[in-house]
Amino acid sequence: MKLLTVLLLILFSTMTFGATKKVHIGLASNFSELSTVSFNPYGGYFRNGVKLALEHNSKRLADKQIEIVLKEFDYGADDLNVLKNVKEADRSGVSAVIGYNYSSNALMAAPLHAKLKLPMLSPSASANRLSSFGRYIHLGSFSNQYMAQVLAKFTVEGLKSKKIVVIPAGNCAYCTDLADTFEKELSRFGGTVVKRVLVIQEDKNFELAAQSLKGLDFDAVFIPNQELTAARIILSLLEAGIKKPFLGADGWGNEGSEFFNVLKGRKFDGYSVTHWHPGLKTKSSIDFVSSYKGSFKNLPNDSSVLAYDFMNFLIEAILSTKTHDRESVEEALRKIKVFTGVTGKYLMSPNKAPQKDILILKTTEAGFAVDQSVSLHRGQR
Amino acid sequence: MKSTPTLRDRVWQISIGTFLVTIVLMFTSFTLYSMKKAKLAEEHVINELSSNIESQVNQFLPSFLLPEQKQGIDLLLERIKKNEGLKETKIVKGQSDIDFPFSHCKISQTDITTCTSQDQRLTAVVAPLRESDELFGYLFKSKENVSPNYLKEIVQVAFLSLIVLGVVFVGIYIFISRLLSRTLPTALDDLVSWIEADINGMRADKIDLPFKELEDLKIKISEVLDRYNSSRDQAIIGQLTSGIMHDIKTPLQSIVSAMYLVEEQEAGSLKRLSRLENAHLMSKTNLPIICNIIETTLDGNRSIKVQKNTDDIVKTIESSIKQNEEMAAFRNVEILKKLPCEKIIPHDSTQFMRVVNNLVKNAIEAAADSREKRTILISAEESESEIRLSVEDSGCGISGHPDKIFKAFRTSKARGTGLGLVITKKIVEAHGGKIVASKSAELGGAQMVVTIPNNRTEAVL
Repeated sequence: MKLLTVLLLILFSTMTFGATKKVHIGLASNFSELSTVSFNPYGGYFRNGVKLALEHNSKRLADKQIEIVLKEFDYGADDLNVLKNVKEADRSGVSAVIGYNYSSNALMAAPLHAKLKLPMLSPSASANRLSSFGRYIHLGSFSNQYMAQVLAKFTVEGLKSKKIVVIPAGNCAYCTDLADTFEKELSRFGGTVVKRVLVIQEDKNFELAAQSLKGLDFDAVFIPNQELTAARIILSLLEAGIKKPFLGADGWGNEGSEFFNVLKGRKFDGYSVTHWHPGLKTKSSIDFVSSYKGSFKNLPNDSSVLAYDFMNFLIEAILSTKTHDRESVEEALRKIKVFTGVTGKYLMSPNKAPQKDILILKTTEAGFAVDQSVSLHRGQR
Repeated sequence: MKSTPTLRDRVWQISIGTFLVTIVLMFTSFTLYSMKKAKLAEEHVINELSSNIESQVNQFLPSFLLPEQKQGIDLLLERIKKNEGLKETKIVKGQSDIDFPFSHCKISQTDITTCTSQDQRLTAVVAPLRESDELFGYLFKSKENVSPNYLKEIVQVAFLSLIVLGVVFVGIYIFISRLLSRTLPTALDDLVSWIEADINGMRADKIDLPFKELEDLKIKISEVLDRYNSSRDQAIIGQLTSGIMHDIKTPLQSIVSAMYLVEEQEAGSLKRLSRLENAHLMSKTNLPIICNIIETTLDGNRSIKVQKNTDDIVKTIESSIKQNEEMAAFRNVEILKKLPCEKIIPHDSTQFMRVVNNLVKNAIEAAADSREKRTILISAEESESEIRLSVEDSGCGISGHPDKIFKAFRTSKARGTGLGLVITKKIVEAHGGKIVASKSAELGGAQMVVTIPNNRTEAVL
């Protein structure tokens, strides 16, 4: 009898230890919102980054008998769908949700995630207010505050431009947040915003905005908008004969196919701050680009690289904990202080925007090129 | 005194009246049309305002959920207003923010409210900006029901209609005016002439009247005249018969009286013989008179047959003139003659003498009534084919249509039968000739022209 009991215990423990644990992770993005000129939706870039991270960590996860099951939540073009997606994700029982690429999506989702105690990871949202929601909110991008600070310094000291025109989209949280922050940072460095021209993100022609600048004395134009809108604004300004330097942030992207497609080969001076560039010669970057192209037959953009990095961050957390309920995952995420990804080293502080190196890109005939890298430790070079 | 309006005045009054009534009807129609259009416009505006409202609410809601996006609210409102051609777009907090002219509208916290302004000119749609249980306010959009285009359209249609109406009415006025002031009076003139000719016994079969109504009127008038003439003739015949009976009675009475006087005397007495001679004389004198009265009456009613002989017609004319010379002298009338020497032409000398006698006698009587020159002129002109006899007088001429004198029982004489010229005409026509009455150019009175053809072949046959 004792022998039988021992044998059953051995069999039970073998069955228990041999079973793979499934961890359900939600992917929230605008999977169905097609870009106007790209063959690939932004959500697709994000999904590819996540999948590549899973693929690269498959062995580590298998070793720990963990299977990550992805469940997509598509909010399309309507920001309000984000709220429905969060509730749906909550009901689906996922341990965490990664996504919300745009600041407006993340800002919409964050309060609800915090309320539902469902960990949320946004790889690319940079709005300053995202750091204020506390537990369950994790950010993979540096803040608008940091981007504005670097850009303001570069504008005043690097470009010697002090009188700046700002053209944000009034219905874009990322844009207005970045514009407001830039204005403050600019004045700190001795510059000033001479005029703010509000536009609508969905507009296609910005002739009126360009006309409003006629006769105005300014040195540069800061265009804190998403890639397509920014490109269309620059095109309207160029067509109006404005040949001042144009400044942007990570919304302009870095792969640049859509941005330059809109601008139809026009030459102009453009500078933007961002996370990464596919032409970076670091080993991790070269490997990532090679691997991504091998899997998806096209160049990655910042959505895919940040998704890749932050999925790796989530996998690190999942691997570091034995149980994978929401609280355990949240705790594991909060415990990671330093993380190194393709885009560089992340100095994490729980539930706040990380500190990272930043790149200043310059527009050339071939697309975006790295102008300079600003290291957290070495400062702007 | 109220004057009778002319046709032109009546047409003008009717045209103006119709024009004004049409304008009133037109503007009534336009008013009804614009009211209907305004209703349709209101429905159209509601559809327009409502069609995008849900997506616009979704566009605004993030701006209330995310303070970073509040900067875009005014711009979005302005853009919607411009794109949709709205009167007003705004975000209101609640019922108290709904101003005149929509202050009467009760807005729903859950559903889209549509409302028309108090003056019916504007329509508003109010949609709650709600996310789950949280109500942020309301999106208010208002638009004019009747856009300036509608008004412009109505003015254009009214203006064009007025022009068309004006042209049509001027055309109709000119047409009717011309019809009533020229065509109709001319036609009526023709009809009057035709009636006059008919009364004078010269009925023309063909008269061009422009309207069937006038043709019908002509037929009716003709029938009335026929009936009138018939009854008139009957009355005249009655009077004439009485006259003839009276005329016959007198000579017959003389004969009968003479016979009574014979009967009073003894048979075989000289006095009886003397009275018989007197009775014979009386009969011899009065019987031709009676025969003449009867013959004349019968000639007026029957067709006259002539027996033509190739004779000198001038001689016949001269004989007739001679028979009347005594009467002319007695009436102090001068007879002038312009006759050729001889004209051999087939004619019935007895009957033709009646013609000349009648004409000359009439001429003498007419000239005798003249105050000034009392003259008659008898002339004849010959040609190869005919002879033309003219008898003119210095009398007062023929009143009315000259041809009327050839109708039976029409006479200007106090004791005439009105059959003389009827018989004269019949005799002339029996000769294949014609007689025409007119005014004498030379003497100023009447002129009677008789034309007799020179048809010798007929005479031989």
